[in-house]
Amino acid sequence: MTTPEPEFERLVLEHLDGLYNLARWLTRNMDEAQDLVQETALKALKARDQFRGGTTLTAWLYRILRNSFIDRYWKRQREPSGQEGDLPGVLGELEQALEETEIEHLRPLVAADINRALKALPEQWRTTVLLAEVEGLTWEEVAEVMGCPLGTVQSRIFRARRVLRQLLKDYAPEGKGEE
Amino acid sequence: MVTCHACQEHIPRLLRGILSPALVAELGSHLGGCEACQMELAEEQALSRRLRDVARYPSPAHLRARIAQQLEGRTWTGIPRLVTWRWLAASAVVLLAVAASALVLTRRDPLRTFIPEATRNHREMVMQHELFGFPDVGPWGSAELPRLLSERLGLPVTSLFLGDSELVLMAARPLLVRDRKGMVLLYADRHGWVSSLLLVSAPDIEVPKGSRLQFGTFRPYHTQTDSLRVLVWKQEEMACFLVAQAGDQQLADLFLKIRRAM
Repeated sequence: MTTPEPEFERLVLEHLDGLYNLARWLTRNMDEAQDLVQETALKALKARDQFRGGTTLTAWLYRILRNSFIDRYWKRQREPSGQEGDLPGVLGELEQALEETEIEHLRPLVAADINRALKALPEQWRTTVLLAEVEGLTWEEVAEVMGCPLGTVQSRIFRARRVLRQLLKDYAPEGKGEE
Repeated sequence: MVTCHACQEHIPRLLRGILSPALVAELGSHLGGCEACQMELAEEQALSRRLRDVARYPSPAHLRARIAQQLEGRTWTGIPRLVTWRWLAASAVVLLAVAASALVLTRRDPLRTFIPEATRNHREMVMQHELFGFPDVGPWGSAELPRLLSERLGLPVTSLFLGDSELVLMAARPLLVRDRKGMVLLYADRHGWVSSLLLVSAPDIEVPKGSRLQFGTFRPYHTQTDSLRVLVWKQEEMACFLVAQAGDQQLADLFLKIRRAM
């Protein structure tokens, strides 16, 4: 049964903070993030009949947002003045772990900053970690958002954590981060 | 027999609390005698703590109003061409009111911030309990906990559930949750099932009215993440998060026992 429209609107608005947070991480731009969230909300409302059990509304909304972001990215690529931007994950080389030399190169830039370390990850790893570790989605929900098997999510989380640890390792001051 | 490789592959799942008790026990046994894996676990725990510092970008107050307006079918067209100063002033007042209410609404939502913290703390406490055990609930003993919570942490607590023959208070740990003082209490039943109660100062947070469960005369907010169930309620300016891996009846019994004692 389809959720009544006012109730559905309320549910979508309840997810606004999480959607905006992911949009900011994806776009790295406040205005673009707002547009992306707005586009997501409108698409969700329009397609609410397609929302079915078997997935959570949270995962469904995040998936719409990420797909919208990827669409925008590809559209920008097709424009004559389009720039590469920062979406290495969508371009397909992501399934390889970062090379040791890259990590060595990135380390001084990242220093002890977890945010910079996260930004240094390929998009698919970064989004997976953000959804699972920061937004608190289950691994099954993350798989739904990313449109990949659960095993891929597990593998990405495992490898992303490895790389994050390596990036942060030599720069973490004694006791920093320990509560 | 768990190998180091298998153990280290399981550590992210262990930290997430999604492994079976049997596998946790196996890993615990391996970790007890393997320094390399202990170091791996410590590093993964440290990373989990650092991931809590990842920047969260709060949504701008006007965004909610803008989207709500669009969802209602009205298109945002900006300032009309034939605008008068009086109209503009009146519009500004309305927009400020909308923005202010949107800000309040944004701050009312505890789901995206505190519930993941509660489940993360639960998993950490459970893991610590399973791997290393706990000596006690502190140098003062459990009977002193309500006074400590009230005097040292400023939480409005006069009494707590301190255990009975069915449910034992295993540990208590003060902590900071999003820069707010709080305490997490760990309970275990006689079958070894563990649940946790996070108490944190949260005067500005309101529990959503929907998704409530009726237990006796109480109606706590309910949600589920992974296999963990979370009940949320407010007592004065304190928010309470009960986290457990439990069926409906177990959850009701657990909640009523803890809630009625407070």
